[in-house]
Amino acid sequence: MENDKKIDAIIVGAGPSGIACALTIKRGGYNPVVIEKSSHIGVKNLFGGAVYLESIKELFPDTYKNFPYERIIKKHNYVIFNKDESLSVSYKKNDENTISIYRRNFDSRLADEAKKEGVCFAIDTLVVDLIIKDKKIIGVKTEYEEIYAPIVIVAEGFNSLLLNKAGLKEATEPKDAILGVREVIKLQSDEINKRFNLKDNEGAMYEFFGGLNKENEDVPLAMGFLYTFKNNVSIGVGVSMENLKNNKITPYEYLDRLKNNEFIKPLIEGGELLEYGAHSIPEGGYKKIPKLYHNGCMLVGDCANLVDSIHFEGTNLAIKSGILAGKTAVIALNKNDFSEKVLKNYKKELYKSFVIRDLKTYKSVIETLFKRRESVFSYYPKKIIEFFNIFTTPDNIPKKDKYRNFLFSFIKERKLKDLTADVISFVKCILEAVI
Amino acid sequence: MYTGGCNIDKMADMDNLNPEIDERLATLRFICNNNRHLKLNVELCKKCENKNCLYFCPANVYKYENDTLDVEFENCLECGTCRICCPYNAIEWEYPKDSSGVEYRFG
Repeated sequence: MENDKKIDAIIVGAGPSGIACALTIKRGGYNPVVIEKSSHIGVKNLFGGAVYLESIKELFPDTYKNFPYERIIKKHNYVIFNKDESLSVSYKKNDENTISIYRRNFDSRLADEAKKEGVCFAIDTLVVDLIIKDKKIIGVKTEYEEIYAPIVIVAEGFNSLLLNKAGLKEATEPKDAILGVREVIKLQSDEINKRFNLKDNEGAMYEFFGGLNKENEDVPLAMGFLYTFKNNVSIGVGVSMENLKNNKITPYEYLDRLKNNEFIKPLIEGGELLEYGAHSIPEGGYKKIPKLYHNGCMLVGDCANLVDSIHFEGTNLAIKSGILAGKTAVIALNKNDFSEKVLKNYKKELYKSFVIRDLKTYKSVIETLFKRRESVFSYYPKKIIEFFNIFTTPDNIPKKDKYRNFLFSFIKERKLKDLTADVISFVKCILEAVI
Repeated sequence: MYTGGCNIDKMADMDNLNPEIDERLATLRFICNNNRHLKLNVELCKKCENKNCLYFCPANVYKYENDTLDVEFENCLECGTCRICCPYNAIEWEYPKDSSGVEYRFG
């Protein structure tokens, strides 16, 4: 390492969770080193498009407004598709909590702020193994050398080879992972404001349901998204790997279907493709959280499966987990005790925070969505749109007859078994969320 | 050391909303390294009937030509989908060394 100061903690990975953790340890009076495999911080990081200010505020209470923000997302849109019909709900809010950012700009800025406070970064360095001795993690082996420290924090991201290799996390099953593919498309700022009905630096985000499978195809557990930036939009789709594994349909085929949808096409038409990308996202939720602490080691961010895929939240959970692991690391360094006994405080704090509590709220939702995906992403969207069709079509048939037929259609079209399963799943998820 | 992936001639024209995968990949920068970070266990691949890796990879890294699977590891986006989805666990997966591999301008 470039300086001879003793290393108190090694953080593997310079994403939001790793940087938040390192900063917290530094502020606690110790010397962390963040090891990052890429040549510049942030260049291998990718996501959909928005962060939530609250988590950045916690890290930088005075300067949180100075980050490279693109647009303040004020319009949240939810759109259901059925072939060439669509139904959208648009919620306009006035707070400034959701902001679009580019991962590369944002993460490198986070790192710059951390460097100003004295956090040391070792870039261009791939960690290939954890060093384990007497059931304690005592350091890391990089592609060049071995580095030792009393605490190692793994912030490697979802595709975590280190944890799998060391047996600290089970191999991910396809049903517990989503692949996100997304494109950045250039449109001019004025054009974005016109197309999305925005003013100045206001932004919009969309979540899209349904419309991704052709007739007779398996309905994928998949959702589309779109975020606006100053001069660009990012559009993408997240597809369950279980569907990708079996369906012989490429992820970019799903993306193309989304882009060619009658509703979306006019929003992006004529734009120039600036960047394509793909990234995997944990989808296992609460039930798939690995053990978060070991002797000399803690897991933060995506590699600990801390993603709330119902609300598209990940960065804020990553930052919070980084802060809490950092605080526990400081306690351990103060006590000079790095055993599980001390580090389990991290788990305790994380379980008290919104991070685990939110994941617990939705503990069966993803599983249920996957099982009932034909209902959720195909049948009910179709029926909701059918209702609006009835509602908006004056065709000289008495409305009462049409409403009756609509209600009876559920019984005619659906097997009782499916209807019951849908109702039970729905009630189960609601009960879990509120009790 | 690297060959820039940003080939202007190949930049996608969005009048066509569905660019070919090669055009999409041409928007990215890949730092090259001759070290193959993805290796196949060919014997296991022979057993695989579906070869769905030809579909699920977002960068079309896996290609089947003349009865053999070719791995264009240079185009890998390092997402790990193949690691998770290969039914035979036939892919030996490492991150690219020497800070090589994909780089995003936006991310």
